[in-house]
Amino acid sequence: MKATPYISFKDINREIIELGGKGIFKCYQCGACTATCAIAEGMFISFRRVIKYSQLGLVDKLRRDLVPWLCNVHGDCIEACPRNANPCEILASLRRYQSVLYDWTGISRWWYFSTLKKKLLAIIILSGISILGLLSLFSTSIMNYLSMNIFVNLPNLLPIGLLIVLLSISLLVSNGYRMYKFVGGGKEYTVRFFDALKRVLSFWIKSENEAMKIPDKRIRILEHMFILAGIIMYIFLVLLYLIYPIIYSLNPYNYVLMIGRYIAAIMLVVGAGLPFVKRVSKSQKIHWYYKLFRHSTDWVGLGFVFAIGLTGLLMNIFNDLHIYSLTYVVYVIHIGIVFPFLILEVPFGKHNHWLYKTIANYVSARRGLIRGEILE
Amino acid sequence: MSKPVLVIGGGISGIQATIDLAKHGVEVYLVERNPSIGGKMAQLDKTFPTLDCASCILTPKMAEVLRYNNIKLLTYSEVQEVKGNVGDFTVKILRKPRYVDWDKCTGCGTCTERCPVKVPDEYNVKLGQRKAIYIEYPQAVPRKALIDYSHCLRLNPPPDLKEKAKGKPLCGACEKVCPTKAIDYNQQPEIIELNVAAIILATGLELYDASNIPEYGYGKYQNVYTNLEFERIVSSTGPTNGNIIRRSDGKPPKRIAWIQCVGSRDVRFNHYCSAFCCMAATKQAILAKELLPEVDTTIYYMDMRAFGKGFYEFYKRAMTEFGVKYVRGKVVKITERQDNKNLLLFYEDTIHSYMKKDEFDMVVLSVAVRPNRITAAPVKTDKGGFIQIMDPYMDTVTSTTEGIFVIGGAAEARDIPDSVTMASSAAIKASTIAKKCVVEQTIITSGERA
Ligand SMILES: Cc1cc2nc3c(=O)[nH]c(=O)nc-3n(C[C@H](O)[C@H](O)[C@H](O)COP(=O)(O)OP(=O)(O)OC[C@H]3O[C@@H](n4cnc5c(N)ncnc54)[C@H](O)[C@@H]3O)c2cc1C
Ligand code: SF4
Ligand code: SF4
Ligand code: SF4
Ligand code: SF4
Repeated sequence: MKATPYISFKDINREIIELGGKGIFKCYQCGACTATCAIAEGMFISFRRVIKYSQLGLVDKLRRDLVPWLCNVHGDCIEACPRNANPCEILASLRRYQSVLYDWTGISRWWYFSTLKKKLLAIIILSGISILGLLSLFSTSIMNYLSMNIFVNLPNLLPIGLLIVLLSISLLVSNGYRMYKFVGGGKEYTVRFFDALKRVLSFWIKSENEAMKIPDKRIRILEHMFILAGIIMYIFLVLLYLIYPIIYSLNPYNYVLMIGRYIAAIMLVVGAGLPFVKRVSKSQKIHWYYKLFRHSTDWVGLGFVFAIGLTGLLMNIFNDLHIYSLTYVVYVIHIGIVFPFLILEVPFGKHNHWLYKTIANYVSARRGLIRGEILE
Repeated sequence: MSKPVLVIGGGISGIQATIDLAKHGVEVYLVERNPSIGGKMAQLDKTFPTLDCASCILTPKMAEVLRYNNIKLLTYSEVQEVKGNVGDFTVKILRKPRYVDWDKCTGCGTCTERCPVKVPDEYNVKLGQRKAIYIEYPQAVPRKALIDYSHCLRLNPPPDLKEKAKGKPLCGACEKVCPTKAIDYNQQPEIIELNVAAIILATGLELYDASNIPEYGYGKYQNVYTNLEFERIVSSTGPTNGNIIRRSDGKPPKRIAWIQCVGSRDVRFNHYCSAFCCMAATKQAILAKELLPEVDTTIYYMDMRAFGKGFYEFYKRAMTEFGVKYVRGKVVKITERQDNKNLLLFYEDTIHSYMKKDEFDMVVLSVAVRPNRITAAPVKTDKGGFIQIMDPYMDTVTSTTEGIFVIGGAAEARDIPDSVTMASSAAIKASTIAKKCVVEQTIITSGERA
């Protein structure tokens, strides 16, 4: 790997601060954040050290460190930090910075450092293109009965849709692979594959279970679980639809599918909508989690999930109420959101964090960074 | 003759300023709220970086205060009100009754032996006990007994005993045994009004309440101590006669840990550095090694502030000559083992960069210091509650009010050398003012009862 040309630590930290790590220079390297964290308790890792890398502007070290991805926003460090540096926010900003470093196209950099307005403009343009494209694929303009694959000529849409999905996935995977290489994936492995898998799973289940017992931490886990489960169900249902469109067209009242569709959509709407509601709520007792800094990319990411969930939900409702014209309108909007989601958000925005997190956990488990026993 | 100067606080800095002023030929009033002067330094065993005996330096200075005719010592007194401005301050001072005649008492201590009431001893940070009539400590200046009103059976009898006695006065043991008949149960508080040219504030420091930091379990875990408590434990005049033993089982510890910056440099408690605890912990670890050569001593710190003359060498010496271990990292939590009351420390080892746990028999917290508040003086305080100074570069001893000076711990967390330097500096400034003023009146004792 080529060494990065000299960049002033000021430039790097200016960017880190822009990405939300406001307290980066408050930190005096005491290690309290590491020592209070339930995750660091179970692993041989230091959150303090990555903060030092950033303070010193050691981009190469930062690129190679997988520790920020292991942070699970438990939030204990916020209280423990004697400098009020908010290590939780610093780590989130480091994750954003790292995902910029991993991306080879440079689009991530633009995505993370451009204003919200510019991001929304880009989304609207992509949306417009996809909606126009979709409408030009009309074969018939039926509005009086429901048949999605006649409304949009599925055989025509399918190859283009698949192409877009493929593009999205290959961008995502190429960045994921770069991350894997940067963090030295494949090297220094001491634990066998299945052992590592077992350890990482049991560790996460245990630590998240512990956290679930504490009311203060529950909401954060639930929000994430809602979004993740919603997305997985959604992908599954879409795949089913693409593979067996016949099921949908022939039997729109298939209850199992119907319930599945509703649940997935509601999960997405609730999981992604909660932070928005909390942010505008005037209540004094806002949970600490909702007071954390969220970057514009986070809002956009949540917005995407929320909009996909909402349009999916409306589509189901209109469909089941036999309001066909509205179903088609919402359907077009839905596709208009999914398209920029796949092209921009998944490979370059917040949603690639799921992949980076998984890789980081896998690599650290293979390296034997999971202690196997909890201190105490 | 010049006008007098008032020094408030009889710690090392106040004593130094008083003596300097007296040597300048200025009349000085030294007001101390405790029964004896001496301040924090009187509670220390040895001092860094030379490991000299603290009381060997302090006691002669304290005695010197009594030697000058132009020093008026007002112990067990509190300043209630300060009015006026430079050259003409009117000060009201409350003299609390000692219930012992100052002139008659010889400090023999017979009374304290006979007194039946035992009270936790402030001088030994409540680790030891004293009587209701007591002399603060053997080297106290003035070495005169006093009765602690709130605990004395005669002066403040508990309600149940009072009922039984049916109006008859209780106890009175001290009065019976005093060979010089010095006990006077009828003493009353007195208010003195003074007119002074300048005032020097030397009210010093107090320890931050470590039980405000629940993670360290001070007050809950028996073997967690503050640094001031430890200072008394290693002192041969202390409650354990200089034996380091654990509160839980009275056994000497095998491993002692010091935790630095407890409540200092921590925006949750006090944002500032307490300045001397790095060196004080180093000193205490050395003292522990000298008393218990086998003991394992570890200091958990973030930054080792060894800025004064000879301090860095002292720190190196602790490491190489005495084998004191230094570990960089903040201890975030202490838990107590149920079986042997040992303590488990959790921290990030910042060399290896992962979380660790260590076991100790005794933990000493290097607790932050806070300024003693003095509300009577019209001065501004800074963010930390310390008295603000005029100019941090060119005039480090003048407060924001002209004619009022501030020295030692009242201005900023300071060690002894810095406090004494400030004291001499303030003394010359106060003396300059005093000599410009002509005396009008010296002392008016009003019959007012407080
Ligand atoms: C555990 C520990 C270890 C230390 N070890 C060392 C060491 O080894 N070497 C070193 O150089 N320094 C050491 N220090 C620091 C040292 O104790 C201080 O620097 C020094 O005592 C400051 O002196 P001072 O006169 O300013 O204040 P103090 O010693 O605090 O004296 C202030 C005096 O003012 C009196 N007073 C307060 N308020 C009023 C009031 N309203 N009216 C009248 N009187 C009042 C108090 O009763 C007290 O007697 C140590 C401190 C601690 C806590
Ligand atoms: S707890 Fe705060 S000051 Fe300490 S290392 Fe972590 S971020 Fe830095
Ligand atoms: S017995 Fe009398 S003289 Fe002796 S210390 Fe007590 S009060 Fe003073
Ligand atoms: S009267 Fe009794 S209780 Fe009171 S100080 Fe004297 S001996 Fe102690
Ligand atoms: S002197 Fe040392 S231990 Fe004390 S507050 Fe400053 S850095 Fe912390």
